[in-house]
Amino acid sequence: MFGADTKKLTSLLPLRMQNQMDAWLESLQVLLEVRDPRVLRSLAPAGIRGLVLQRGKQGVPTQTRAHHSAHFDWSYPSDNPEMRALYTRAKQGQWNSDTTLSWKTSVDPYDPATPLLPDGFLDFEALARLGIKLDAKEKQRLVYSVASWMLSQFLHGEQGALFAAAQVTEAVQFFDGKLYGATQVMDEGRHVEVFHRYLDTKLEKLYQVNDNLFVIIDALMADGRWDMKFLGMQIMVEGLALGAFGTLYKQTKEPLLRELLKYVIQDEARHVHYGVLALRDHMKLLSGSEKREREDWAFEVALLMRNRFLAYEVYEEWFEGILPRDKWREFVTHTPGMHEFRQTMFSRLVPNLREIGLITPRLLPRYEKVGLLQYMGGLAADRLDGDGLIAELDRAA
Amino acid sequence: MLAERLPRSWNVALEQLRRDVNVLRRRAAGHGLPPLVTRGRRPATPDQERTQERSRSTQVRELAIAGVVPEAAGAVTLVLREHDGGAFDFRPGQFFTVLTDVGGEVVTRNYSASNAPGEPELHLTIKTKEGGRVSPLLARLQRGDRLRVRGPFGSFVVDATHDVDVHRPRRLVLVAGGAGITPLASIARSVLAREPTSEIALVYANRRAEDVIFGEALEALAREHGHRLALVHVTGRLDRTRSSHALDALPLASHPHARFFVCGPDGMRDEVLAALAARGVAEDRIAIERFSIGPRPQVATSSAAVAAAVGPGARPVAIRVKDRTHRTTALPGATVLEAGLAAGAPMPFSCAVGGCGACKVKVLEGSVEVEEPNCLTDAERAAGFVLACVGRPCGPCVVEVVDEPGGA
Repeated sequence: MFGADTKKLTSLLPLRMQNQMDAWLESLQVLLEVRDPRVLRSLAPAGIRGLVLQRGKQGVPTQTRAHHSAHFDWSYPSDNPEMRALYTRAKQGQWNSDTTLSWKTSVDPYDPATPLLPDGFLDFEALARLGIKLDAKEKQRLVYSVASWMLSQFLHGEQGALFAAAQVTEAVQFFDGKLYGATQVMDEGRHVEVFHRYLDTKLEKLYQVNDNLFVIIDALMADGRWDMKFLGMQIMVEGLALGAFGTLYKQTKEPLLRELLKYVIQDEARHVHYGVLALRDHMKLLSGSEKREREDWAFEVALLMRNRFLAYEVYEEWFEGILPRDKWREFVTHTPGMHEFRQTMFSRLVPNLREIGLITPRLLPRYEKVGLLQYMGGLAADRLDGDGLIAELDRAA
Repeated sequence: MLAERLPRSWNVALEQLRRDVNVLRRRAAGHGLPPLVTRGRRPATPDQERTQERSRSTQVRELAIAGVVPEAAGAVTLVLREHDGGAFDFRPGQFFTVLTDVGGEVVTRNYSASNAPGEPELHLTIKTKEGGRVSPLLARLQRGDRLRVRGPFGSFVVDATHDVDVHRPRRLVLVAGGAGITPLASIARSVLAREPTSEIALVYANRRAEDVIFGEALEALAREHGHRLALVHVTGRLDRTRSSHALDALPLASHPHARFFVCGPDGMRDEVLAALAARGVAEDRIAIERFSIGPRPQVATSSAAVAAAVGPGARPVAIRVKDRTHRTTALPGATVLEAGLAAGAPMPFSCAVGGCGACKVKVLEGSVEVEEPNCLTDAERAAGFVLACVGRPCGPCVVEVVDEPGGA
């Protein structure tokens, strides 16, 4: 990232300071990737609030300001048959979290019969090569930490999705979209409930919101344009979540978590579909310059998303002061479980971006440079439904 | 205070600025923010209802000892777990009553929780008293043993987190002597973890430096929370002069809204209270835990004792609560409170060792013998009040729970 000279300079500092420097430089690098000044204007304030001031970790409450306007329509038009159909499907797909899931299941994160994550998810040999040798119990505890961390970030993402869904429901101009949006608000509320209940009563651990995730949520809450909220939340955050839930669903052997994810995935598939429906036509109506701004914005957010999955919070809990932060980044990037996570997440996200027309020849080299181009092939969400997704995942498992 | 005269929106912005600057300062010093969220109290979900029922009940329950941690000065921390692994629900500062079998008699002792609530573990830190009947037995317990407890009880508490507004943070000055650190450790841990803007100053007195319990844990807490925890150790007797000096050294102690929590041996407590009075701190800003009220007489609850007692020695007791009369029988040695709770009478109580006055009842007929010393005032005694928790009926009697407007 930054040249060998910077590296040499910082290596003179104590490890704690080196780590802080690494964090600053990493944040700076994300911002320096921004080419379009308009994207910088919309992301930089959120970037400073999230990456520099760490507002998401300052304690309760975190307050963000919204700038969108609510779009009323007193004529109640039936204006989008596809969204209407999705609304009907969403009504039928509602489920009661108290009765649908077997909360009586007792969850033991250390039970070898029902591991949260599969063996080999973390490459302990690579960790040992970095000088960190863990005994069997510690390995189990680290895997448990990583699983709790991942689910904590899903939970925080769902809180963002809940508020964004509410804002989008106000701001969107399709009336059928508003009706559908109301079901999504309910869905997200339920997801917050079930993820939190699982973490609180079963895993008994909750991590702080990741700074990169917070930047995305903060930027979405503040952006006044409904299509940016859609793009960010429905396509990027939800699209990635769909990929992540799918991987976890395939990998976990813990029965309650599997059941929970199965239901959440079915809801999420609708949410991403909604985003594709709303944006596909809208993007065609935008001027060239407006569209370019969105293309760049989506690329930046994809980059933030990729960095979101580096599990620095687990590092801070376990290895801060023992292992340099950049070594951890290298480890997490290459450890098999997290690698596969990124694969599936982006293999869901990139086709959706392509479908709404945001991956253009202009952007291809940049996607390629950060290694995201390989995911272009898959099916977009409008051709996949929840049941299809689950069936596909079950086949793959 | 300037902050109170500014419009609310300015205060919000100022508070945000303060938090931002705090983060930048920490990061510049090479410290990040804590990676984990401390999980606090939540409205009941079906899983948690059990926990809450349990905590409401005064029933004796058995906890498993999951670990024994040696502390300084011969103290030990018993790490306890519920059999279902559920979280412990109590208010920071509250205590649990431990029931121990000593030669066939059940003897009770009260120990404050020293960790924060909401965790799947309960930490009771026990200082061994030489020649004591109970603490040496407790100190010999091992992982895998079981311990019978009731609780939580006590009103030496800070209120639940959700009462606190970040824009009106709490300022607490904690004064501990010796083993009196335990409830204050619980208060410090939970307030610092859950209230990002609240601040704490802790004065901790010990006869010798090697008697300091939780020394390292407190240092770690201070490192983690920076300026939000000021720590002053006093070695030697915490008399009035030393108290004044210690308080002078802490800016928080001069804050007009600071609240004081004092817990330690009787002698120390009186000196600290005198020092606070001299500084003009009003009594309603001071909470006191009376933790050494002397050995408790045994209570007849073991089944052998009960079998022996159901005879001519049992005394009929009638308890009037809000126009209802609950009739029960007190076994020899049983208190009015125990008899009443056993009969399902909704009697108020808190410390259960004669120290808080919450269980005060009026004797209408008969006589009740009350352990001394206790916290009843002369006026209350003259008016016929006794403390149900340390009062034993001498014969048939009738008592009444008197509702006092604004009373405890």
